Amino acid sequence: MMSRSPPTIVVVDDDPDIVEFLCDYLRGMGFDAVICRPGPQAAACIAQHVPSLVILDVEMGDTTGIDLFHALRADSVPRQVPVIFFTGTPDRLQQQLPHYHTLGAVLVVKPDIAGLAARIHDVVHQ
Amino acid sequence: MSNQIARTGDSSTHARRLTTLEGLLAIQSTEVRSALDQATDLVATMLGADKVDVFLYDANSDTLVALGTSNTPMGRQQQALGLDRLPLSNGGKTVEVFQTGEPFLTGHLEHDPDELPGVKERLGVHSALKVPLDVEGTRRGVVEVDAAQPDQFTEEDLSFLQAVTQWVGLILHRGELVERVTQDVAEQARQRTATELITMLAHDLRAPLVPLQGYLGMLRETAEREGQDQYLQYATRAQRSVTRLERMLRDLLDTTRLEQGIFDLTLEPVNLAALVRDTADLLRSPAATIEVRAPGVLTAVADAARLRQVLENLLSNALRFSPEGMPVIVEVGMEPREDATWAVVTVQDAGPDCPRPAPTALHALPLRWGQQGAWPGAVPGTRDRRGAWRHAHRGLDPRQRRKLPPGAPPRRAAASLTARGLTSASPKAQRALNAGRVKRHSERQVDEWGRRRRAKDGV
Repeated sequence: MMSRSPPTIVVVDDDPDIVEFLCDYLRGMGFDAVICRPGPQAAACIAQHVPSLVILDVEMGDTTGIDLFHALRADSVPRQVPVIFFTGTPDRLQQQLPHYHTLGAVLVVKPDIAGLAARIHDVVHQ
Repeated sequence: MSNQIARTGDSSTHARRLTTLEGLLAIQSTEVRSALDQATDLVATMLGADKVDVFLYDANSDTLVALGTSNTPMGRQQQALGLDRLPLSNGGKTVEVFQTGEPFLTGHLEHDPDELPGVKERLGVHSALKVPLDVEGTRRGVVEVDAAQPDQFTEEDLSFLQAVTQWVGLILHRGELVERVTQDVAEQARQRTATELITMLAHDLRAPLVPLQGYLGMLRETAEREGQDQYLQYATRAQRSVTRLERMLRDLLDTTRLEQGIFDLTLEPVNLAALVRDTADLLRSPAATIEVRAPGVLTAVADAARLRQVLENLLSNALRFSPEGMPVIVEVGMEPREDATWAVVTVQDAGPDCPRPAPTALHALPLRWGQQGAWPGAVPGTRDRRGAWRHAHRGLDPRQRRKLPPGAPPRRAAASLTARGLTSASPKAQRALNAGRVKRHSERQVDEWGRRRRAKDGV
């Protein structure tokens, strides 16, 4: 009997310690965690892995999480991949993308790990 | 012949006046003092005066202050004598013109008993023209022309000065507008910089807490799963410290925002009673009893996250200083006041009496005040489009702790939160619900309020 492969969650964050932790955490929860580096290739990387969820930082240097989110939504992929903005700068997100919640995204403020876990559960099991 | 000379003299005077007016029109400087200095120099030349001043009223010191003075010997002497500042209480002809609005002309100021002795005797002014200066209908000061020579000025000169004074008023108004705009631009730039700085600070300080909190949580779960009580205890204690660190960081960022004047509140309908119960549940423990006395639903407009933050602080403090076995009591009710009906949250503890310190920067939050009116469905008697709430916090500084006499009744902590006002921001309420800031059982109430509000607004 073939076992079902675990859902894939892509993590995009410029902080290597956070990326490392999130991968350990997600794998501990039974997910397949994939890292996509922030930058011009991130959108293509995400599309390649067809994830169930993307965990996205906002402040990531030249290419922000908001830019990447717009790129994801602009892709002609039939399904809009759910996004969790996991950020220490919620004000920035709320200023620049005030209607994120209508675009299939939710916000969790760092370092709310419990909140992140709850949102992951909501998204993956809905 | 004499007529020809008179006409030539008149022509020369007219030409000089025209030149002076052209010079005034050409003043480019938008800095007030520089513009007025240029104007007074032009007028001094035109009228052959020893000194020309633009005195402006300074309300703080109730004094007429020479902001623009001609660069002449008498002008410099005036400054040396301190006669460039004329307190209204000292009187004098300049003050009289300012107060009455009546222009003044004399060729023999030395005979005028109402003039200040210093002007007559030490400056040696004999001829004087004084005209009130109005800007946008408000009396702002006096334009004054003085000469050491008697009978220097004529009625025509007075008329000319009155026309010039109107132009001085325009220059002043323009200069002040430019200064205000420049200050506003500078302030906006400062706020943008402060916001950027705090954003980056928040980002950089929060980042290390993610793996710290995260791995501690995983250690705890592993220890619990494997029955390693000692490690579970260590991990739990470490997590508690990290949570405290998070709270301190949040407070530090909030305080910085307050100090920089960039602290914003997100006002939305909140079931105050539910929020208080939720917060009490989080902090309650077998050793820490919190009794909540509140109706099922009491909706008011507030920033739920900030309100929760303040309540957590109040309750934590109250629990820390409350004697064992004595509950902390939280009451939620409504209070009619002169301006509106307010929702009031009161925290009572039985701890020792403490003096009333000044509220902390975080807790003293003077907020925006909106318009008065009637608003159904929430706090009765209020309709504030912006909403407002204020909080008075009684700090509990352990250094000021005093013993409570035995048998003393429980003391009421002078801590109360009042919230009033409203917005019709139902989408905001929805975001609050999505974020879990408002408990599920209040959804019906919030939605009902939103429907009623939209119906009333015709949306």
